[in-house]
Amino acid sequence: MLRNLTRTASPWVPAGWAATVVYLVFIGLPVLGILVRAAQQSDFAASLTSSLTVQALQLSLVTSTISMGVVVVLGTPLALLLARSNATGLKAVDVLVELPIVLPPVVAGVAMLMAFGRQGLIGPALTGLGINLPFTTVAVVFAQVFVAAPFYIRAAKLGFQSVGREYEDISQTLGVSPWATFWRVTMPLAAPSILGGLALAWARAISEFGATIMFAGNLTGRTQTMPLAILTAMETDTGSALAMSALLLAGSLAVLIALGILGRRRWEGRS
Amino acid sequence: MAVPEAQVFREHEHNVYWGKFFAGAALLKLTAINLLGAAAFLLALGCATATGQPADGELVVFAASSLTDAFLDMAREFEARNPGVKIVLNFAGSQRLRTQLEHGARAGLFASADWGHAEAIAAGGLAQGGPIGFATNRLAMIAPSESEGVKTLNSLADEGVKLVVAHPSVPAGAYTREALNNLGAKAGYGKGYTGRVLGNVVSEEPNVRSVAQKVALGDADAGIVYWSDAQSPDIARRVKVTAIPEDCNVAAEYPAILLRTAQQPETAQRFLDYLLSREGQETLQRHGFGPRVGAATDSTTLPARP
Repeated sequence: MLRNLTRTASPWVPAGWAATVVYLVFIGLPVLGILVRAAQQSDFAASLTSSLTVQALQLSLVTSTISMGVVVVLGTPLALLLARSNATGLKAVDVLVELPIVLPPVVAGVAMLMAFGRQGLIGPALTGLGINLPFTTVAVVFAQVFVAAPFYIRAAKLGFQSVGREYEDISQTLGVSPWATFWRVTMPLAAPSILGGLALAWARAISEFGATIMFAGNLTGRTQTMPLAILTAMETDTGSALAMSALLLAGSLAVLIALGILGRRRWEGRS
Repeated sequence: MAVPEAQVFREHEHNVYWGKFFAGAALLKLTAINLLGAAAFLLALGCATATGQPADGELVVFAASSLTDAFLDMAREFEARNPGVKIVLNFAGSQRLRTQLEHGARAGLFASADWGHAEAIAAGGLAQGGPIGFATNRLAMIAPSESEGVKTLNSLADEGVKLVVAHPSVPAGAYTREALNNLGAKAGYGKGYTGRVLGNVVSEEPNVRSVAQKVALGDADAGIVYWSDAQSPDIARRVKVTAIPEDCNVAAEYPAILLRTAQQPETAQRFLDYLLSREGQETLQRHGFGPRVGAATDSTTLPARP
């Protein structure tokens, strides 16, 4: 039966290769475009060290690091609960958690303004407390956490689900406390998934644009992250825009390679 | 003949792989998806040569975002007078429109909020003839209508004021800095006025309408926009406007330039004529713009102050 199906399917293999070539050209040419044009810049190094680039890079690194801290602290217990509990209502939470993945980022920006802006739902209360979020670096972190957290939570949930309960049971029957069991059994087994999710979430946070420009504005050194700086530079100083794009491209490739290594390790761990 | 074990395993994996994907309904679905994909791709290829080329009778106009309300009105009027003509408008900061044109966007007419971006298009060999001024504008300060914070230009320099302006590459952003320098040089605004006001800037927006929106939403305490932006109905009802004294204000001049990529050069020319005509000028002035420089009227007239 299987053998039969394999034979009828074979014409798809050349079609697959043809599609692969078309796709590779489609994706590869723009990537090549950035690299070639950036390399052709006579002042590439100067663009990389220009104040606009350095400030944006610094801001992106600082904000995304803080965002990932928030995402891990909030997301890990949430993911564990989603993975282990059948409590009513959690199904709805599960859906809501993934909403930002499909929500257009600019809608996320409008949503943040309508919630935390001065005329937002809790804006007046925040103002009463002397807290003003729009146009601050905190607003950048808010936007990043909003769009990036689901990628981490989803991966962590799957990671926790893949850990067999029997390992935890055995650990506890051997007298290890539940807390120690979590750190010494559950976490190490779920770690590849969790780290993979963290890498994806980080990449998403770094690339966040729509919600940031809506909610945090665009000010060099305070709210102008790399993507915003690239957009601004595209209209004033193309060299810097190219240098920053090349930098983000290299970063993205690094994340993918890291994910690949993680994936292989997880696979080997299973077999 | 003994088959190496590894090879058997690989072949088995292969079978499972294809078997899973092509079994039963999945096969039909996948075939359909593939055919659709192929069709879409061919369609895209077929259209690729036509991309950016407007359909017959279509005139693409690139206009500075401050022209939004006025040009929407004028496009309607122009279409009503010229049956069969359709105006397609693209609004953004003039610097972005210029970038788009320089990267190959096709349009018939470019209406910039300053002379510099229009001249750059001409210098780049993208224009048909030189820029022609068709309107003027000036700046004003706006603040959310219900806020008590910023009531005068003087209070723009107060500590903690959240001021939103356009980025210096945006014409409105360059004009804003010019006007603030003028104010700072004038007696009565205190020492270091310009520096303190610029220190209050919390965001440099990519176009002037984003500045207006952020103030209208109440998230910024004040913003500097064009007088005409403050007249836009959606903004006017949510902000209060403070005029900037005539002697410190700027005389922003809006030029239009015909583009070489125009598909309908005659229609583009006719739209430009309409911009300069009495009807066009009246529509612009109804939206808060001043008459073009060199118009028959008294050249010192800018829209009346409240």
